Order: sequence, then structure tokens, then C-alpha cells
Amino acid sequence: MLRFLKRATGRGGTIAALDKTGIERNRWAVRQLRLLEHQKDEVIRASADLETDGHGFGATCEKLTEAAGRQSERMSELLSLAAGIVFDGRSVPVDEVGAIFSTALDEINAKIVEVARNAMTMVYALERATGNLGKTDQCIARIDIINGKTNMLAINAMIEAVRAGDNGTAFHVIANEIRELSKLTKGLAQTMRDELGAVVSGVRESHAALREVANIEMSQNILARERLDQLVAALAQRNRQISAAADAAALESSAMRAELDRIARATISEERVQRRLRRIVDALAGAAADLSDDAESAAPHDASGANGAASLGRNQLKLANGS
Amino acid sequence: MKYRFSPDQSEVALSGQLTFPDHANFRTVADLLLKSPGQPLVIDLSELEFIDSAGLGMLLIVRTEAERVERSVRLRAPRGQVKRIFDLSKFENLFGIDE
Repeated sequence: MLRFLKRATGRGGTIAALDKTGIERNRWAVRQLRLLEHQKDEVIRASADLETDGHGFGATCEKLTEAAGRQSERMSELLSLAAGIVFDGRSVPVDEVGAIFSTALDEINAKIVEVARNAMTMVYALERATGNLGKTDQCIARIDIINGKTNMLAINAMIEAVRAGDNGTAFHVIANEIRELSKLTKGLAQTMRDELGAVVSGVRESHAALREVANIEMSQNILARERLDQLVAALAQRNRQISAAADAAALESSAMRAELDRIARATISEERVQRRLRRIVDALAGAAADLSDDAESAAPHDASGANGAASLGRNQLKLANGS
Repeated sequence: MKYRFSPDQSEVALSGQLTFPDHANFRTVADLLLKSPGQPLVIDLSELEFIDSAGLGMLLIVRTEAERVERSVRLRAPRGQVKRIFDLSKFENLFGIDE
């Protein structure tokens, strides 16, 4: 400002011109002072807001950081849970669960096939036995026929012995013996028939029961392993997807936590910002004081308006200094 | 079940379904096959559409009876449900199977 005044007088300007220039410069200085005052107020308010909001924001960041930490821990738990199940006191991966299922079902299928083979073997055996029993029954029937003929022969022999009179006495005794033997044979054949009937009945019942067993459709049970394999594979696939999702979530959670930590640390440096703002306020106040001095120096000594402006500048300076 | 023997009767082709009601019919097939001079005995399953557990049991009986006379049984070209059942029953460990 002084340099400006010197340049103005050095060019031979009149006092009036000088006064006029001084007034203009003084007004300009007042406007600058007001502007500086306004800027200083804004900085002070911003500083206050920063202090208030910063504390709240910092606290929120800390809470979010803690929450992110807990989330990371839960994600880690979820990852360990997704890795497998606890069985027999040890952690078994899902893929291994599938292998355990497969082994168990292979054993079941082998037993189904073995049972089917044995059932069919017995079915065939009982059918053969039933056939043999039928043949035995036919044999008994033939014995009956033979026995009937023998009995008839004995009766005829007895008749002929009676006709022979005394000469036929011995023959009568023999015929009678044959008849007795025939009766015994008939009784024995009947006993055999009764026993055989009971055996045939038992075999037929067993055969019928075994047919029921052999006729049970087990192929669907064998095929169940196929479906279970597919089910276990689908479960394993889902488990891998869950693990991958949980893994990604854990990574994101860790990244979020790190970012929140960084933000929290940045918030902590709010004091540094406050100090810088105070230095800006001081600088603005210093600039206002300089302007005020310039305005005072440049103001005409007898120009009441300019003096007023200089006074205004001083007043503004006081405001700027907060006094 | 239907069946068709090769001229020398060492090979038989089954078609349709092999289930429990076929066991008497299959017994005839097994007896004829075991009487044939061929080695190994071949059962062609390319036209067999379905087999149940009783059918598996019948095949195993033929295998056992063949082994008693030091002969073997090969199963040819199982497909569809028959092949799946063979796979799940580990039949490849019990029979020679020609795909």
C-alpha cells in the first residue's frame, strides 16, 4: 500500500488525487478486512464443527471397527464349521463324509446281492425238494398198490387153503402171515404218507415264504446309493460354495476393519488439523492487521470519510483478533 | 424274459426283464448253458432292459455252478438300468464283463 502511495505521489499527482486514491484504497482495505473477518469466522466454525463431528465420527469408527472384528471372528467360525462335521470326536470333512457313506452303501449293496443269491439258491433247492417229495409220494402210492395186491393174494391163498382142507393148514398159516404183513405194510405206508404230507406242507410253506423274500424288489435299494452319491456330491458342492462365500466375506470383513482402522487413525489426527486451522486464523488475523496498518497509513489526514474508513478498518481488526 | 442260444449253445442272449417270476425259465437256460462245451460261457445282455435283485442272484448261481466245473461266465454288453445295477453291485469284481 505504501509502495502504491509512493508511486502515486512520485508521478506528481495532486493531494486531492492522492486523497482520492487513498480513500479508494482505504475502502478496498475495509472490504478485504470484512472478507478476512468472514473467512476467519468460517474457519472458526469449521474448526468447532470438526471438533464436534470428529469426536462423534471417531467413536462411530471405533464401534464399527469392533463390529468388523467380531464379524471377522464369526466368519472364521463359519469357515471352520463349513469345513466339516464333528463325528466320533473328530472333524470330518464333508468330502470324507461322502466316502464314508459310499463305503457303507457298498457294504449294504454287497449284502443285498448276497441275500438275493442265497434266497434264489434256497428257492431252487426247495423246488427240487418239493419235486423229490412228490416222487416219494408216488413211491408210497405204488407201495399201497403193491400192498393191496399182496393183501388180495393173501386172501386168495387163505381161500384156497380152506378148500384144501387139512392139506392146506400150513398154507393157511402162511397166507395169514402174509396178510398180517400186508396190514403192517399198509399201516407203515399210511404213516409214511402222513409224515411226508407234513414235510411237504412245511416245505411248501417255506418255499412260499422264501419266494416272498426272493421276490422283494431290492434293485431300488441298490440304486439308492446312486442317488445318495449325487446328494452327497451336491452337498459337498454347496459346502464349497458356502466356504468360498464365507472366505470372501472374511476377507472383506478384514479389509473393512483395516479401512475403519485407517479412518479412525485419520480422525485421531483431527487435533493436528485443529492446530493448522488455528494457524490459519492467526495468519488471517495477521493479514487483517497488516491491511489495517496500510489503510491507516494511506488514509488522508483531513479526509473525514477516509478516516472513518480507517477507523472501520481498525474496528474490523479488533473483531478479527477476537478482542 | 426271452432267450436265444447260439448254435453251439455256449452263448445265450437274454432280452426283456430278468426278475423273480423268470426264475424257472432261467433255470432251464442255466442248465442248457452249463451243458454246452463252450468256455467261457457267455450271457449277452445287450437286449436286457431290466434286472432285479433276484435276477442278480440267478446270475450269481450260474457263476457258482460254472466254477464247480471249472468254467467261467462272462456278461456281455449290459446297458441302461442293468449296467447301473452292475456298477453299484460291483459285479465287475465277480464276473468278466465285456462292455
